[in-house]
Amino acid sequence: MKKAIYTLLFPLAAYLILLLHADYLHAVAECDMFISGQAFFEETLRTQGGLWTWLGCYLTQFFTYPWLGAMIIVAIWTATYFLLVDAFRLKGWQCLLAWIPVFALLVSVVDIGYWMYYIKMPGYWFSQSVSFFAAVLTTWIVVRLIRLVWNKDVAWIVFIIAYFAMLQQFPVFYHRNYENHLLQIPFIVAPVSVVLLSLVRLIKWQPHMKWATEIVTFIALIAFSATAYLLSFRNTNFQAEIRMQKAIEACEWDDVIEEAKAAKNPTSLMVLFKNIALMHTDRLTEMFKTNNCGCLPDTGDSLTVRMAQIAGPLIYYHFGQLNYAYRWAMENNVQYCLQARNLKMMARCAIMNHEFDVAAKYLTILSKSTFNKSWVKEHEPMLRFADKLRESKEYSYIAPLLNEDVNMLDYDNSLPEQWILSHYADLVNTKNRKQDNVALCASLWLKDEYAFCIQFYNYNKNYPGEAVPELYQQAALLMGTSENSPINLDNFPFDQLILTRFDNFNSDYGSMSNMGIQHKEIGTRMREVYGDTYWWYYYFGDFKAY
Amino acid sequence: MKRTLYMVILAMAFVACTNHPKVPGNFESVGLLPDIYPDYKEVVVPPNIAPLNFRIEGNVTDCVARFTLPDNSTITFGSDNKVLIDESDWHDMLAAAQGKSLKVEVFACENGSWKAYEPFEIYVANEEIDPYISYRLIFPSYVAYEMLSISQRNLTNFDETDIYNNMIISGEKDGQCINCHSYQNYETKNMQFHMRQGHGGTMLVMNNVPQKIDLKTDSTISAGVYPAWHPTLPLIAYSTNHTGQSFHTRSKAKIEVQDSESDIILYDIEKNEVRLISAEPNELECFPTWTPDGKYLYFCSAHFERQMADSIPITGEMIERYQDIRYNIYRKEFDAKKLAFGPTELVYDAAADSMSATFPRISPDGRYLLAGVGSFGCFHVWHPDADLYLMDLQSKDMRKLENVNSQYAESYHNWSSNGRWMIFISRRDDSNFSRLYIAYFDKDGKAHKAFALPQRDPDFYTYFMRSYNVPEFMKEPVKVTPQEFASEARKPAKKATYVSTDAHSGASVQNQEAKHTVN
Repeated sequence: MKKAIYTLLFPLAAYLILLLHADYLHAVAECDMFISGQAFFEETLRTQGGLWTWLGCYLTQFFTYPWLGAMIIVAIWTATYFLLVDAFRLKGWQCLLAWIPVFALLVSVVDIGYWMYYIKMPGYWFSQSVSFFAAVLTTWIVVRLIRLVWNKDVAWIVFIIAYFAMLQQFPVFYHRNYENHLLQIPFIVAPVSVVLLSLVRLIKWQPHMKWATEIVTFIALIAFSATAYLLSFRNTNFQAEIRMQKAIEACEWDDVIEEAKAAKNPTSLMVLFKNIALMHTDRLTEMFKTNNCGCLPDTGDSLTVRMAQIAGPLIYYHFGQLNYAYRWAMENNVQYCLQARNLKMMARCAIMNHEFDVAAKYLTILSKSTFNKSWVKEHEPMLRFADKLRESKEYSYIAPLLNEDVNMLDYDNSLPEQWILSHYADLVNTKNRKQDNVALCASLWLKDEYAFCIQFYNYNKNYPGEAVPELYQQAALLMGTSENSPINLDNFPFDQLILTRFDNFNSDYGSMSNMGIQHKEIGTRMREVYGDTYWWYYYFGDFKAY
Repeated sequence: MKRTLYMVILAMAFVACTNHPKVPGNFESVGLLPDIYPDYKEVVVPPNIAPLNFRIEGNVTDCVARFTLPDNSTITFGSDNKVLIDESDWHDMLAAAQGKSLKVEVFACENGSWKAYEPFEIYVANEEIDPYISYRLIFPSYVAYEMLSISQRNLTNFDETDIYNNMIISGEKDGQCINCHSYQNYETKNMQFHMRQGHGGTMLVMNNVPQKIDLKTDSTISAGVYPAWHPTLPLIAYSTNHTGQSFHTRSKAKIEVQDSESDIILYDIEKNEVRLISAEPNELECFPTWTPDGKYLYFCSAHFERQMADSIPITGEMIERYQDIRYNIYRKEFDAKKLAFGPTELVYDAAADSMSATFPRISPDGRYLLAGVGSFGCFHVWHPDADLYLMDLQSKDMRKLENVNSQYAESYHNWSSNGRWMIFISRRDDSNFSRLYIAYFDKDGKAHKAFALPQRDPDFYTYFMRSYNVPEFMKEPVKVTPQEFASEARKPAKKATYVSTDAHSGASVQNQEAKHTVN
């Protein structure tokens, strides 16, 4: 009974650690792709370690349901452990050491973080565990056969030789741009630990007191588990970004906004996601009431993250820029392996763009994966029935942003946020209120005074007699009343409350400034009272484009 | 017991070898032609082409295709929704039908009942096609490139191998683009292709020996870009280009590729010298090609005069005025002894028809000029309106080529060495991915219905995520291996030297002599 508990302790811990990263694991399944059929199998087999890659791709799909994928991978690790114990005939405390390669494999799955988007190894999350298991299994079979017919004492030597021969195909984490080699450590630990096991078995010593072994084993397994957890990538913004992407996919806008509100220091991507949610729920004028200052993501190592690569297609899509969404989905597929999420995006853009032949191609490919069939089933009717497209939830959000009259030749310098804001801030022939609001807010986001004045003028012209949102009044007070302003707001009916608050803002700023307080410190002090105003963003706020 | 075993083995061997299904006894005639992919109905094929495997579209669970040969013998193929034809049987069928046709009757089982479709013909020409082609395989991406290859395909079967691929030596930071493979007179012992960025240079092969050359000189715009081998002499004409890309926000064309500067140069391989052929101010010369006798060099050129020089750089102005840039086709007479070119003659004034012509290609008999024509620009593979046009160089009549064009882009066309076959890319399948199509061109100057390059699996194109471009016919496969190319690529490139010439002499455009008719 006790033995069973000790044996199950680490698999259970590993399973829990994986489930703590459930959002990440779900995203992993979207960042990979498996296509059933001969063509994909043959193409994958042409690469080194192709069989493991193919198997890895197949199994990675199961992370669509993190509990299921985690269960499968933990089962593989547990089986690996038993094979190692049996192959080396480990006993007592020695068994503990057979968990070391499993520990390394667990770390290799959960320490990836933002590399998830950049890794050029299809099926990475399973292929290493599967190939390691296969190496151990094959050599275990060889060892068993040798033990049956030959000298038992040399069996482990054969094991080591055969094991390393099998490991030639082991897909070690590798990236040419990677400079600090932390992520490669698990791939050194796992194979080397097997060599150690072969040596440990030569040590015949076992403690006299059985309880001592049990305590050491227990503590060691807890230590393994804790270390694996500590080595996992637990950046809260990274996890929030993943959850926000998932919520955007499901058009669950309130969830997106709540994630943003919960973040202390959100990334620019999170701010953008929040504003997409506000835009689609007609609340974009509230964008500065929540934190609108985005920082750069903390990748934890030398990786430089680009928004275009981690979420460019999704951002462009929701701003109605279908060509650019399609472009980045294609670029990312080319650069960082075929990914289900990119194929889906290409299919969506093609459907929305009425390019039904190519959309059908992507849907056919997606239908050959295990867990995307329902997605395909949902989107396929849109190819044949225009009503189905028009009735779709996404269409209702995105169609108002499609401006058929505006075709421009341009390029985004791989900075989607900057491009989208500039594009909308400069947009002159807006078609509806949604576009008007996006254009106005984009100019505010960029602090582009001239663009704001033009958009503000057009807004008032388009909606005469309507109450002007508080945000636009705040901005107009700040940017439209200056000497250089291209518009005259002398007779504009500003709300008295806004005027009073603006006076207070100026007075508070002036007095703190006169006291010699640094600009940054003034911003911190004024945030509590004025953090929800455009004035605060204008003077103290910023965002990092990446 | 032994006898039974032999019988079983024999029966299994028979089933495995023949795989000829029976035509269903009961079926309903639907009076329609079958919907098959790729569409091989009523096409003319070479007598040495690989099997035309196809699938039947729709909810088909089983099928039989009965091929009737000219001697009225029949043979059947088909399983599930696919007709996969045995290679050996197919070549026997082609041999029997050369100069005649194969009748194809398709029977399909849909929803449990069999339907018989109207028969169609596959005509087998007398003239063979060159046994090999090469092409570049590239994702239809924008700026990213990975898994890029120049591959060669045996047209008589399905064998495809890499001539070179960019993953052999390129890295994340020194990524390598490869392009513009070309051969001298359909033979591969003399060939070239370019490597860009990492280990960059032009990989020149002479007598099957590769050498990397740096064609960029201080006096030319760039290294060589679009190449044209002189048919007999060790000379290659190149365009030199400053090329940029920009992206449409709404147009389905998606990408615009433009040259802000371009000239034509001549590279003398033996002397390793580069000289200018055409470098006119306000002209964007590009796409050189020789006549088969080597006496003329054809090329395209767009006239572009700056109008916004004070306010924006040329690249910005070209983006603003992208629909105004139109290429005409010109030619220059070539004096091989002096390596000198005559004045520029206008061959096709596409701009006058509000069109833009690219990639002129002269038929091996020198009679016809095949060109890609669209409403503007030079990168027609992304322009849905781009079509193939044919000019009879005797009458100077230019016409849109019948039977080969589609509603989507056609481009990158070429002639087979006997002039009876054309190969080109088309986006007709799905508007985004370029596929290779082959068309028969008869002695009367008529093109016949084009057919897709056959693949072993008819589903191939559905799942294949790369595009084909620059198909080139070859009489033989390339003999230099990818590893030999990689080994040479790692060495420093041999620098070409520039020889000064007066590229402007006699280069004035003789519009008044040109005669063009557009039908």
